[in-house]
Parts: sequence; C-alpha cells; structure tokens
Amino acid sequence: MRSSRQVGRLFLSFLRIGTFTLGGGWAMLPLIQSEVVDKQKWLEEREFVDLLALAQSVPGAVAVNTAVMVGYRVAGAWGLLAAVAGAVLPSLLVILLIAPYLVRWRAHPLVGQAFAGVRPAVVALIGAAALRLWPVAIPDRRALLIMALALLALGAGLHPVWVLAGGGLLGWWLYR
Amino acid sequence: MIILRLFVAFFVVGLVSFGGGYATIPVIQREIVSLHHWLSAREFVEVVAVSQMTPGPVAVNMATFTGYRVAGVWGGVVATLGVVLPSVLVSGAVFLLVRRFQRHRFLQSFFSGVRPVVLVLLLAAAFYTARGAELDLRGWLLAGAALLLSWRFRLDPVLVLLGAAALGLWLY
Repeated sequence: MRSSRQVGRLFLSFLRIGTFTLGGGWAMLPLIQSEVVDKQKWLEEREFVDLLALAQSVPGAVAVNTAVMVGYRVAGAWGLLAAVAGAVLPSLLVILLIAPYLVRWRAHPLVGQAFAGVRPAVVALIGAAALRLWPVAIPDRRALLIMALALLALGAGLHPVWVLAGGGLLGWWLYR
Repeated sequence: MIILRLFVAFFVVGLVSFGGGYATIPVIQREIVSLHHWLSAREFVEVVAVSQMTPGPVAVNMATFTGYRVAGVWGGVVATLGVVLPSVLVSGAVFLLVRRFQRHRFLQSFFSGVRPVVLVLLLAAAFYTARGAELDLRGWLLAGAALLLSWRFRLDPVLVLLGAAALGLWLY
C-alpha cells in the first residue's frame, strides 16, 4: 500500500517536472533536484550526484536516464515506469495535440518574448544546480584537482563519458 | 511496416546517443534525413526548432514529432517508446549493478572522483546554454536574479521559470 502511494507520487512529481522542462533536457535536472531532494526528500544531495554521474555514463537522454534511476531507487520497477511515464507524457501530449500549430506559432512575437525570459532562467537554474552540489562534489583539494583536470579535458574536446571514467579512476587512485 | 521501422530507427538513436540532447541531433539527422528520407532537410530544421520550444528533452521531442509527421499519432507514440526504451533497459541494468556493489571500496573512491566531473558537466551545460541563448544585458540581469533566487533561497524552479517568462513578455 505504502509503495503504491509512492508510485503515484512519483508519477505526479515527474509529470510536473516534465511539464516545466523548457529549453532541453539539462533544464530537467534542477527540477528533479528540487522535487526529489528538497520537497519529497527521497534522496540526499550526494545520492543525487551519484545518480547523475551514472545517468551521464549510459546512452540516452540524461533526463530520462535520471528519471529511470530515481524511479527505481524510490519504488522499484513500478516506480521506474511511473517516473519515466510522468517525465515523457507532457512532451508527448503537447506535440501530438498542437504540433501542427506549433510550426506556425513559433514565429509569433509573444512566443519569442516569453522564451527570451525563459532562456536566461534556464542558464541560471542549471548553474544553481551545479553550485548546490559544490559542497558535496568538492569536499577537499583532491576533488578540486580532479575538477580542474576535468575542465581541461572537456575544454580540449574529450567526450564527457571518457572524462567521467577518467575522474573515477583518478578518484580510485587518490581516495584509496 | 512503417510503424515498426520508426520504432527500430529511434531505438537505435536512443542506444547510440551519449551526452544529452544536442549531441543527439546529428544522430537523428543521419537516421531520419540521410538514411530513411522520412523528412527533407528543411522539415528537419523545423522539427529541431519546435522540439527546442516544447517541454521535455530535445531528443525525445524530436522522436515524437518525427514519428507524428511520418505516421500520425501512433507513429509519434511508437517513436517515443523507441527512443526511451534503451534508457530504461541500460540505466535500469547499470543502476542495479552499481547498487549491488555500492559498499565496495573501489566504487566508493571511484564515485569520489566522478562527483567533481558531474559538477563540471553541469557548469559546462550552463555555459553552452548561455552561449546558445546569446543573452543581452537584460538577459544577464535576469539570469543573475534567477541564480540568486534558486541557489540561495531555494525558490521552486517552476516559479522561477514562470516568473522569467512573464518578465520576458514585459521586458522585450
């Protein structure tokens, strides 16, 4: 009984997250963080970072991968399905119901103005999600060193998956 | 059977796309425009533009919209299922595997090294989103205010987004 209520709450939480994910999948991560860590207290900040790391290491949209893992972690296989369904349903409905009009609307000035406001907010939300994780992700100088090397590696054009793997191996060596 | 081919094409897209929506766009382009000729290059640009405006991950939106264009509502549903299914299978399996060994010392120190990289990836995502948005002074001020409200005051991101959209209508 308790678990079926969790499944329902997961679905509603991810429905809300999916509805307000504007400007691409990365924008979904701050919404998931706020809902799952702050409001529902299903995960601690540290567990959330670890799930994000896994979600970025496997194929598929990072947001969907995160929904899969959070859903499973909170309420098992049914939780997984509820979270993914909630995350994907809003975009599915929006596109199926109003796709023919969207092509015309996108040139409307009001749409452009609203998005001119939304875009900087998305930048800020992703930035804030990163800053929130700072104390958890960078507890000491070793982590700071890994962070600096990761910045260099990404800047040099290395694929994120390799940077994640490299960071992990470096962590294994530094935190033995 | 167009429905089945849509499913397979987007299953492949979901399986080979690493690292977020924008990395997926060229993969989808190859599959949909060059390989199957389901959309013309011009229609594809339209699909990308609309997928960036509708809620949800860009890759999922592109799957839904392309499927819908090619084979109606069922095409949209099936293409969406196809692009999401690899996530469910692979993420689910990796999560179970890691959870099984999470007490292991190797994994614990491994994750200590991965966490700083996740932070860098989030910062990079913010950076690229900012660069793509080509913010003007008003945009940067709005971003600064939103950052403060979200980071320091833990304001609900939904409220931040709605407030920002309203401000956009007023400012621009």
